[in-house]
Amino acid sequence: MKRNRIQRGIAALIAAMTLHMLTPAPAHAWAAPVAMTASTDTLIFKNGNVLEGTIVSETGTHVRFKGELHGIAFETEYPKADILEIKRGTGQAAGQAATDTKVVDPSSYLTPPPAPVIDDGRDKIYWIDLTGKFGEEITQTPLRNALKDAKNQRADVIIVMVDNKVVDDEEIRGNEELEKLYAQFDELFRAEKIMAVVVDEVPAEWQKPPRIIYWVRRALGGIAFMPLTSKEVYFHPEGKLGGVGNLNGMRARGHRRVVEKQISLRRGHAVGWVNQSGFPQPEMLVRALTQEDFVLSLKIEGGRPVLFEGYPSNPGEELLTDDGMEGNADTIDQAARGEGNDVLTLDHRLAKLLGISKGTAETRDELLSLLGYRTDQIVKSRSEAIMRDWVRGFEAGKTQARRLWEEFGEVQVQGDYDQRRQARSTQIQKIEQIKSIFKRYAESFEWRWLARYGFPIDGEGGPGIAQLTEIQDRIRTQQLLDRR
Amino acid sequence: MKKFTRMLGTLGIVFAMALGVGVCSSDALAIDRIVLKDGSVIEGTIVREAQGAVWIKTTIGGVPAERMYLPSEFTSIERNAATAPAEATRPATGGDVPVVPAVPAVTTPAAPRSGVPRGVVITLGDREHGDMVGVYMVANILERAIPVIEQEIGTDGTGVVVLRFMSGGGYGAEVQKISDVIHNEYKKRWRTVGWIDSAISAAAMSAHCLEEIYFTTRGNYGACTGFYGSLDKPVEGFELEKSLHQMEKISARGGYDYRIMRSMQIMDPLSATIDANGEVHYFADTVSGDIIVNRNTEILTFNAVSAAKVKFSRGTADTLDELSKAMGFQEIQWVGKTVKGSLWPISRAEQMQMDFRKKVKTDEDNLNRYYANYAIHVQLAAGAPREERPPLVNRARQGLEQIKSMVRNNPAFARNIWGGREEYKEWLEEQEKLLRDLMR
Repeated sequence: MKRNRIQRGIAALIAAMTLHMLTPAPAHAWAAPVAMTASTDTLIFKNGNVLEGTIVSETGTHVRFKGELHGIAFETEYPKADILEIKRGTGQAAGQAATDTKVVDPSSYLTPPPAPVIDDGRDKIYWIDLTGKFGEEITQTPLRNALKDAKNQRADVIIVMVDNKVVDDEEIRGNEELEKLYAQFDELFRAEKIMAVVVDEVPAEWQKPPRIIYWVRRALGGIAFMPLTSKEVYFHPEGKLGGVGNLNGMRARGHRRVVEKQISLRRGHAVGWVNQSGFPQPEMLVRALTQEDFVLSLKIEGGRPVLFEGYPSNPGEELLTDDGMEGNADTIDQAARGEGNDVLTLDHRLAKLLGISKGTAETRDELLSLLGYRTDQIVKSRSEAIMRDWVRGFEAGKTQARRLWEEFGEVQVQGDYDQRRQARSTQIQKIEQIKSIFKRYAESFEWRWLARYGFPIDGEGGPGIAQLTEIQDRIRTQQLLDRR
Repeated sequence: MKKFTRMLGTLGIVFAMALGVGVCSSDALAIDRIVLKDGSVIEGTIVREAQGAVWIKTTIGGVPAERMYLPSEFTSIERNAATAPAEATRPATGGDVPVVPAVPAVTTPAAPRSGVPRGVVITLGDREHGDMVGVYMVANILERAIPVIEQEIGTDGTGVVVLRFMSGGGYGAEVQKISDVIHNEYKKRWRTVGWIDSAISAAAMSAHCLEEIYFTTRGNYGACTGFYGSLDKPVEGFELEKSLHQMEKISARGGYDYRIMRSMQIMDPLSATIDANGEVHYFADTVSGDIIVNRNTEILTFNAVSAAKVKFSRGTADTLDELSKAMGFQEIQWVGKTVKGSLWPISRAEQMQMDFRKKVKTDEDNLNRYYANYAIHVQLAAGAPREERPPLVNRARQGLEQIKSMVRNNPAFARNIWGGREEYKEWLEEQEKLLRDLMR
């Protein structure tokens, strides 16, 4: 219902803009550039754009700037990260030098200079907590920044604790359209962008790559594959890994051959990531994790665990997943608790039995003890602050984006020429601010949230920044068409 | 007015892609020239320089403009170029001649070491910009790289080209073209090998003419079932048979049993046995061979382990060093600049591929804007008195130039958007005429 209302709203907005676009424009609407005076400030952007006007305010990371563009007044905040150079006119704030200022990328503030490294011959351990909602809070940029910090700290070992929050699907249940869309949302492909930071970037950027150790408390959904890329995994006694969906569910949604292609390529991707760990039977493991009709059992041969397809034939073998058919189907309660066996969910016992987990630890100290380390080997890091700042920034960005979008929708373009021009300038400014938020946190915005509030969505399910720019273009065109 | 609207409407497609750099016309007084990395040349007067960035006064579509370029955006600056021969760096403006990306500026290549073969790594698709076959992975840019690779690793037959695949598939129509370039051009000049990070669907079909294929540890290859964008629309009937036949011929190019690709296209079971001589024999069922390669009701996708098991893959390598060893080299000189974060040196031919994909990505993101810019100004001009039209037509022309530049960079856009080269040309001619009519 809400979705339909939003869609109607967008359609109405576009229709309104289109009507305006068809109005002839006066030739004089081609606004000449604002004459540059000695008191004019100039922002030179990295993308080549140059804006002239007045700096209203300035922080360490942003510049609030007002000026006029194509005859439209605007006041907008720009991240300094996007700015190459600030030229200050004579109207600058007292005490500021009238010289060019090279803007420092704010991300450089995230990583302090390497702390003095005391080399006592013992391994230095860097600790990272991956907690929160996968894809939003657990995402590549803060992880990448934490790993940069680890590199600066010359860490020998990186311990990643995984404890993700499971997405609450209550809001989409029962809504056929949303369920269908959700079913197409492959968390594995989202996880690939995060896993690549560890699997690809660390070996490429570190002269001596560190040991990467995962400690699993909860790795359910796409993030389940992350620990499975590592040769060193430990579990919490209540740890769970799995919940990577049911690939077979796709079979109800199309031609069998096409669906099998989709399942096959997904399995191919998943197996590839598990291959990174050197696990000897990656395909068996992935089939059991992802396909509910796959029957998998375990036996021990020569003291080593061996997976095989089919039901156990003697008491020494253990059934891991059944075929999920009829009486074998998990109950809702079992599925909700992650205790079913239609698909595989690893707990500390199974993970150890399969040779995936090297041990079980309830606390950090216990884990360090298992690894033969002491607590004082953990280096003082900024990883917690990096993760926390990301989450806070993102949450604030969401709130701000919603507010700006609402305000944008409320702007009435009416009155005399100057009032209409001012209103359009406000619209453009609001969208510019939304774009700035989206660019900074693009990877964390999820299509469902965007759809809920009526934001445009790009082809990959992220914020539709290009579409927002198109809306700005249309508003500028409306201004061109407007007559006094 | 109706006529103009109708002519615009003949495009008849939804633009869901985008573009980049407009083609700038020469200014009669131009004396400086900036050669951009995408091959475009900006002529005009350099008015300012700071921190390596330059500002140039030029004209775009007849409208004076000042543009700024970062050092990372251009390859060279020619000052007072009016006195120097210009043809070598002037961008082509004809519809058929690709102008971007140009060959990156020549740097002094590392001196070839005597008796040591030279090699380059060429990427087909990447995570940052795009990987779709027929959009980001196209035959045209591979073909344009040939003279550069010849310059970098020679033409004596000892050179090695590693094609690194990273693609989730795309347009089946591009498969034959890519296969032809690799088979008829690359393989004849150099030892050409595939290094598979991900080659799904059309990407695997494009790689299948390579006799020598290596995987990364997480590599995947297969799932080549054709379909028309929706899960319930498979390629069927005559088109399916044609595709199966096409891939039989391409399998022969690579020296693979045709049944491997067949199991990747349709749900044909496959098993294999490796005989005492190490030869692999395939069977179109799951019981005749010792190894089940594809189950009865599934589509085949290889991973590094399963591909190596039946010798489809020659080995698994995650680094260039591992690949060199897997290929049997004691010593090989990989050509290119060492770049932090890259597992292989970036050769000029590779830089071309990267620049190409970057521009295509820009095109994809902005095409709607370019087209809207064009269409709106045509409509405005059509509704304006004759004397007010020139600036509007100039604006429209800028939009059209952006679209033309996009297609020059990647001719595959003509097929993907207009349905073909001829259709695109026809549409273009209509628009050119329309703009001329508006100025009468």
